[in-house]
Amino acid sequence: MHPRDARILALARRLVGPRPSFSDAVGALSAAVTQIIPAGRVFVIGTTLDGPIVGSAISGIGIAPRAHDVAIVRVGADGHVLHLDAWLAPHELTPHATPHELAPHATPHELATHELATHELATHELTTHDTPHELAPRALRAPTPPRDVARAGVLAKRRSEARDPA
Amino acid sequence: MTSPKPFDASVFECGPATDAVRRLLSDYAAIEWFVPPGVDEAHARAFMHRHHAHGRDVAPDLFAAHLDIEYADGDAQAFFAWCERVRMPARGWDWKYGVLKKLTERHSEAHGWDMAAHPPLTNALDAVGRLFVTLPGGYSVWNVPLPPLALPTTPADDEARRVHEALRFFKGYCDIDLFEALEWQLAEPECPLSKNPFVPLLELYATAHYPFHLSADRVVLFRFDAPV
Repeated sequence: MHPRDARILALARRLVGPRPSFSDAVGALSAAVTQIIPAGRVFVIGTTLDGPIVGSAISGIGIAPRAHDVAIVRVGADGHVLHLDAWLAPHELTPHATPHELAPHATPHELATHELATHELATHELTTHDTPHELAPRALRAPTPPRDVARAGVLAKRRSEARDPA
Repeated sequence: MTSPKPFDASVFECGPATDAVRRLLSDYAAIEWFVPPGVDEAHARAFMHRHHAHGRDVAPDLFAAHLDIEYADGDAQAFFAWCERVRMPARGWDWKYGVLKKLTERHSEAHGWDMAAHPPLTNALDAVGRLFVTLPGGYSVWNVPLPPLALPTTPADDEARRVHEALRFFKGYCDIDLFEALEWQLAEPECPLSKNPFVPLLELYATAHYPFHLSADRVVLFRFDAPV
């Protein structure tokens, strides 16, 4: 993620708090964009089944509504949508918000990889220069149990496939 | 590189600016991206100078009195290097935000145009033909579902992936230039397209010359020596 996108998202999160509606998240994103970029704008850069993806026409980083929260996604140049994170960082989740609630249509395997992806991105707090591709190898170096290391390998492969469809 | 999906500009209704908006959208959607140039550099130079002159007519403080135009030829890796160069600009200069956003902002203010003042609440999933939508809460955002690029290959390694990101980075800024051109027409519907300062820039893209503004008075037009 480009540092400017990371700064915008961090500011938007601070402006609106941890559990915004999608509309409030769009408002916070718009406010953050105009604070960081003179005359900056946000765009509808794609859609999901749950609604529009609103974000940057340059990087494809945007936000999308989900059943119980707001997702942070990247829309690739080819239109493919890659889920990067939830609006909430994992340590902000209440005990009642399970991974299944965050991704009700996900398979068990997707939930497992979602957990790890969220953990990795939260560790970096969206403020580094790392792309998701760069994050995966770092996760492998983290002091995690062997089971998680294996899952990280699967995740890195899945991410590569998801970002680079044939 | 063209889009895999057709783009129908005829669905957009924008009052007195409708014809100009449809023309801008359809011409832009027809551009073939990241290919060797189809015209000689004199044509490209003329578009670049026209863009600069029209901008200077409106905002002489933003556009230098003289513009040096240089050329660079190369492959996708060379293009990536140019993108990296403008991504990390010299202090005090931004290759897009420094001039063009200010130009549009001033023009819209001068004509009393504000996107938020116009569109009604819109279901963004059913917003065909609307240039912008207003979400619950009153937040208005641009909504032109430009077709995605048909990337020619699957990036097999980090290097190829970075090149794809560079193409997206550059095309994203070109898309924003299109939005600037659209906003210009919405703010001033009676303005002929030939006087819209962003139109020559879009025409320049159609010639497959890709500008990198290094400073207010220096621009490099990049040309691919082979299709990406």
